[in-house]
Amino acid sequence: MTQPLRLFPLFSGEPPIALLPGSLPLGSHLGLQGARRNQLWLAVHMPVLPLEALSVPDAAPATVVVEPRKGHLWIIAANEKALAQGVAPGLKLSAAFALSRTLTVLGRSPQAEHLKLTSIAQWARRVTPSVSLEPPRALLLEVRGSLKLWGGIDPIKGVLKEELQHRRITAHLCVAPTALAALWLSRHQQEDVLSHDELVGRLGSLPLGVAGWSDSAQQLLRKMGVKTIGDCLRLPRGGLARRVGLQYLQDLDRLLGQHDLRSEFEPAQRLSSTLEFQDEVTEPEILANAGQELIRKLVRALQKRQAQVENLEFGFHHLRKPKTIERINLVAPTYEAERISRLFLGKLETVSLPDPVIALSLTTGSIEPMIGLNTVLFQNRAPAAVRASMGELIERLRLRFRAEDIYGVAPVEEHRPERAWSKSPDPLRRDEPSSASNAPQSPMRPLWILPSPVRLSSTAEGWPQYGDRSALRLESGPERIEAGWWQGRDISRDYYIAFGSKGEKLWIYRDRCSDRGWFLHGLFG
Amino acid sequence: MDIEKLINHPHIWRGRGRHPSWSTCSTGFEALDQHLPGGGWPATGLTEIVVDQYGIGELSLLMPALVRVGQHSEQGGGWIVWVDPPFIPYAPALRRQGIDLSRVLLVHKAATQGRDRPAYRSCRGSWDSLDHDFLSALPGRRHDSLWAMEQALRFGSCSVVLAWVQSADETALRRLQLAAEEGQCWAVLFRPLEALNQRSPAVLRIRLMRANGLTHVKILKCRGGRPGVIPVQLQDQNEAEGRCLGGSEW
Repeated sequence: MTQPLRLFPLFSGEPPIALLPGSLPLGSHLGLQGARRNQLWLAVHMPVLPLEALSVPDAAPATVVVEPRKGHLWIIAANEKALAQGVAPGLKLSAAFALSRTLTVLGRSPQAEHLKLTSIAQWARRVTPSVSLEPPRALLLEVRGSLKLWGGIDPIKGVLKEELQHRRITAHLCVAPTALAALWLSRHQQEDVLSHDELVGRLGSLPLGVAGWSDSAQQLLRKMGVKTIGDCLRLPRGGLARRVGLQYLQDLDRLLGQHDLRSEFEPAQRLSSTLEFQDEVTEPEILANAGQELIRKLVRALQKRQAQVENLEFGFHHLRKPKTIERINLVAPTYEAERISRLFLGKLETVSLPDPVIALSLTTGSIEPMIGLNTVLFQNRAPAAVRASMGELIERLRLRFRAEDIYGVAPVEEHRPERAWSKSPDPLRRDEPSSASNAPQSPMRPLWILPSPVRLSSTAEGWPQYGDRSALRLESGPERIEAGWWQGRDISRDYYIAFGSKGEKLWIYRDRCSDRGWFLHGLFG
Repeated sequence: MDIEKLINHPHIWRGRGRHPSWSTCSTGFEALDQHLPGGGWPATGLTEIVVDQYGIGELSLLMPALVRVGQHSEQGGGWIVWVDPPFIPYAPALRRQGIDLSRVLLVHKAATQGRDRPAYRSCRGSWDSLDHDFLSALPGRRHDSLWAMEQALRFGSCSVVLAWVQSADETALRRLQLAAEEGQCWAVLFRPLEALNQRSPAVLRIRLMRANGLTHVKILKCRGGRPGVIPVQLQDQNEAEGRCLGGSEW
């Protein structure tokens, strides 16, 4: 999803100082003070975001979040119970298990973190419009313009702290004249720096780890005896650029006020419009016409923005009752009016309205940039066209069936027959044709399988009975399947192919585990 | 009057040898191919199959044609839509037959509370015959299945639609036939025994029975052909392809 890049540069100041030989005293970087002094950045650093994004309850036992790196699992976040046992971020998972035997391990979910970050950013826009995401777990707000409205920096921090506490997210806030300084200070949980003069002094004692630089650069600097940011600032600029890397030098420049371009966070756009009726309306034709009008307006707005939409919500407003909401979820984003109106008319047939309608509203979900569909000119059934029409079919079927009633099937490598298949809820996404294995090695399986095996009654001699109480004739077998003991649900069955009196070919089994009974599992259709 | 126009008039029955106006897909069984006009299943149109028991080979009869449809369609096409099947089509068995599982779509309302969809009956531990228990399908449910089949035929650009419907009146069947012709799709409708007495505009109506180890295909109505009973040997576990033992007609 592309977000428009709105840049708000820090300043248009002087170029950096020319390369000087030898080491420089600490204050020489103050020469960069062509920096405009009227920026104030607030950084929100959320160290435990990977854990909080996964909504782990407070009463949960010791839980850690791990991430695979270089072939091992490393811990990146742990809750208090885990910390109390000595498990801390930065350990390998195997080391953590040596410290504590019972640990709940969760995998890191970048999508959940991003979702949480964007929702906080969206909320933070009420403090200031200049919000910038600093993934994976920080936010930057430029608050100089909001100081007058909120009456100082402390009310802003108070409001933020309250909201973050409400959302149960631990965060460290820090204010500084430059963005990077605020970020690094918040990572070390330092106090605010309000003026540019004390910036260098405060930054001097920060350890090197707050910068978030790569491990190799940090190691190199540590070997040279550089352990704090202040030491870094004292290094000769040319030498630093040549030995360690140019981007680290640029980081230090931005730290002290050089150009720092940050992309502004913009929440996803939604479109909505309402049509009010002069009277209460009950006839479906009027509702259909109103809906078509709203859809036309929507399509014009989408075309102006070159966007397409995937989820729509139609609201039928009533005078005395809360509004009836009908949602339409499309299989693929679209900007075509006919498709949306076909689905709307289909929904109109099945919706039941408790009261006459006084207004009709249409709200979209988030809109995305338009992607055109390549259609071949003269061929009717081009692959993309077939996929598109199958997608339309699924959308139409979803009007009357639930989404989980429409699915594809896929085989699963599994011995237990009832688990050897699975539903695939998104049948359009599978492009590659599954390899047809006509090999005679694969065992004979029935074309129909019952959702769960059904018990058969047995004759006096123990033969299975079916239908009109006639014993089944066992044709072939037994095929013994024993599996699942490692999951505690082990099965041990002897499968037979049997014929009934009317000629049906059945797949039955005899259970060897619990009760020695006969069950019907499938039919050879 | 032009002699060609006279001969090709649809009210004149010309016996066998006349090529049907619809395209066909070979069934995979030779005697059945010889008997059906055009040499196979009607690839655009409605085929009705009346079964009195499940498990007698109603799917295996269609399998060679379904596999052929998947192989010969263009890339991205060849979809097979199953509407309300009585049981679950078993994916490993379908794959073994050669069906492309990435082109299979099921539309199946799951049973809620067990009242909606018992395709079979089992009471108190004993077991009654696997009745194609089309009963207790609520009327709304039946309409939904017919509606889903018509949508798939008309809009889906799929190749085959298989549906199991309890009862359908003649209007519904005509709509399905028209939808199949319009969408250039092969529609297969499975019906219970009660449908034998009903008139139907389908292109092909057959009934399946099983006796003496063979599946008998009784052709009830065939547009452009003659009724008959054809025994067919379906694919067994040890045999490569289905063989048939000649046709017999009355």
